Amino acid sequence: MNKFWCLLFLAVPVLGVAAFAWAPGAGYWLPRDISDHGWQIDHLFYFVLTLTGAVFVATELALFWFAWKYDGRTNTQPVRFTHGSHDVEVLWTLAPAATLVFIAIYQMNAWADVKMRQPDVPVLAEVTARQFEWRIRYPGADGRFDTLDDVHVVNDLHVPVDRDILITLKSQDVLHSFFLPNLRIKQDAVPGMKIPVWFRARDVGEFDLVCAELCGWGHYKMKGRLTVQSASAFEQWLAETAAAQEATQEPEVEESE
Amino acid sequence: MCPSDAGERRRIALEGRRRRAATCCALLWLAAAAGCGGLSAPQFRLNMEDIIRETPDKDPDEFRITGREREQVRQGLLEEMRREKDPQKIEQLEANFGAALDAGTEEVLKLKRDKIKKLKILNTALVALFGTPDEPYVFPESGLDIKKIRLAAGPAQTVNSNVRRGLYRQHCVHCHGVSGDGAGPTAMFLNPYPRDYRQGKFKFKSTEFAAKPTDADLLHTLTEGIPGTAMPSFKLLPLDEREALVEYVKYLSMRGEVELAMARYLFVDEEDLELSRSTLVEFLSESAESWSAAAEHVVRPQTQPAHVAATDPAEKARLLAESIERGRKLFAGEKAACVKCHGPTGLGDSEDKLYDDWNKDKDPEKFGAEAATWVLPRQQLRPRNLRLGIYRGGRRPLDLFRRIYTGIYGGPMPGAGPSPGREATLSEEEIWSVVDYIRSLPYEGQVAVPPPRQLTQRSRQSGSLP
Repeated sequence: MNKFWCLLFLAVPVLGVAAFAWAPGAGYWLPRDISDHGWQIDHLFYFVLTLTGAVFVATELALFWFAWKYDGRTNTQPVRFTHGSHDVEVLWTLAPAATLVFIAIYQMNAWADVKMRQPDVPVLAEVTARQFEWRIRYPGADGRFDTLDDVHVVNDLHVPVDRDILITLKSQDVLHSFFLPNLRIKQDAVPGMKIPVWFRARDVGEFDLVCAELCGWGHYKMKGRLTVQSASAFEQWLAETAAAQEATQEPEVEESE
Repeated sequence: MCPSDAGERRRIALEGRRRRAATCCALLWLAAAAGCGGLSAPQFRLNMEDIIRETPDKDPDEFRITGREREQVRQGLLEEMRREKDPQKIEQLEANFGAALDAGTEEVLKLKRDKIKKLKILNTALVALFGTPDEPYVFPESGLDIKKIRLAAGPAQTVNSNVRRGLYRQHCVHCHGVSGDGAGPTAMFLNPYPRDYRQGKFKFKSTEFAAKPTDADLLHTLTEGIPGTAMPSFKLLPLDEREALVEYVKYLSMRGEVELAMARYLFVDEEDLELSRSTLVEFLSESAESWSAAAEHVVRPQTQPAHVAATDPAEKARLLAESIERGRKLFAGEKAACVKCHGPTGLGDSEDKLYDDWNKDKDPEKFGAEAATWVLPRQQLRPRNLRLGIYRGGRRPLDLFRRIYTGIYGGPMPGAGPSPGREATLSEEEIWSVVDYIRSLPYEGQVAVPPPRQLTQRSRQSGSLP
């Protein structure tokens, strides 16, 4: 094979590794983690990235080496065929299988934390995804849903900081996915299902809430805002929103945003 | 070829190469020209369909340039030949066919030329008053803010990394269309159809029945979306971008109204439009004045529901229960007659032959073949199901009060408050009671749903299936 092509193939692992070395510094990396459990997800991500990265680089280097060494134009030896090696077959079957089983067991705790160990707290809000917005409902002062004092908002999810948050996720039409990048939470919203989602946020601030499942032509505009705030600020916001919803007169001062 | 021709051969080869290079250049130029052609600026579409639907007794072709005139004349001549029995006459007709076709077409076109001229005048007047989608323009008399409109108009692009332009085409156009006709590419898949702004009618607003919405009303719709329809919330767009879009909606609406008024004047009243500034402004001001007067027509209830003022919780609950009961009676009674459409159970299932103003003229039986050309076929309107807790115009008691007080403009929902030439059917107090009743409907019996964890525990304890 032409040396040019060999070097071009070599560029794949070199550029691949270079891209990963460059990305974090340039801001193309995981978004800031503000959750309690997020480190587990990130740890698994780095673990799998290192593992697959090492295998990727090794495979690519081997490819390059074979292509370089056995260049058809310089190699005068006739091609030898082999019917394979039993030992090598066993090795490259068992090694990936063992790796996969290891990952499956290794991640169980992270999975259970995110999907199975639901905190024993009342549901804070019900989020209903629909084409193309997030309709959010809080139980209101009586703490119960489906009563007159439910508080309705759209695209504007507020939660208190440092508290176990339990949310019920629903969909009104098609598949959507409730994605909080900063909380390492991603859960599909499935029509006809009520799916519990929980997390705990450590930092206050405003973060993205986006749809991570192509749900139709307006998928790109299905963006909401997550506001993590102190418990008192959250209670105040909820009370103000509830009061505004009961208005029987136009508010004196037009709300400014 | 002998060797002495080598120089000649080189010359020919060089020329060949030059010719090929020239061909390549020409092809590239053609491709570039074609590419530019594909990106030609979008134009506002003339709204003739409203005029056609308003005058079902007239031939729809009277209002547009069809390009079918020659074919129609040809069909007429062929029909004449078919009817003719005398072979000599047929022969004569055949011989004269070409000349007769030319003469007939010319005659039809002569009649048509007047219409074509009027269409051109209409188009010129509208471009003079409002510009084009890429280069919008407004007269100061319109009261519109051209800066905001320029932000919303034109192709979607980001300038200086943070100023976004072409907002309408980025967020709205695929449903509401370039001309604001509510017939963008995605419109036909939606129920209800997106709003056609060109009639200047808006359903959900704080103002009296036929008054225009205020800027705050349009901003509210844009910010909160319209639950129960395909209109999503644009809450996360910065306020200045939303305000620019509100201004652009007003611009499209005003343009549509002026266009309709001019088209009626030209084609229905068959008058001649003089292309002078004063005439144009005359048409413009009628619409512009109604828009600028919107804020004067906001409905503000003079009274409050009794239970809102009460401070003692027990008293509050008693008054609310009383009000709901009074509202229930009114809802079912003759005076308010809500049940006529919304049904005795509030499911909105009593009346199924309802249409809003955008659909009521679209009677396929009346228009036949013309109806097949409509991008958006007639769509029925369902009275609201009041048990879903979905309120398109807002869920505040104040919003519901306004819906009942003024009715829904452009739809069959009548207003219970007073309007010019009509007495109020309900007093303010009675309207508040109906509001209380409607708000209680989705929660009748107040069924509480416990959180999932409790449900599992309880069902495990009682031994029933999870």
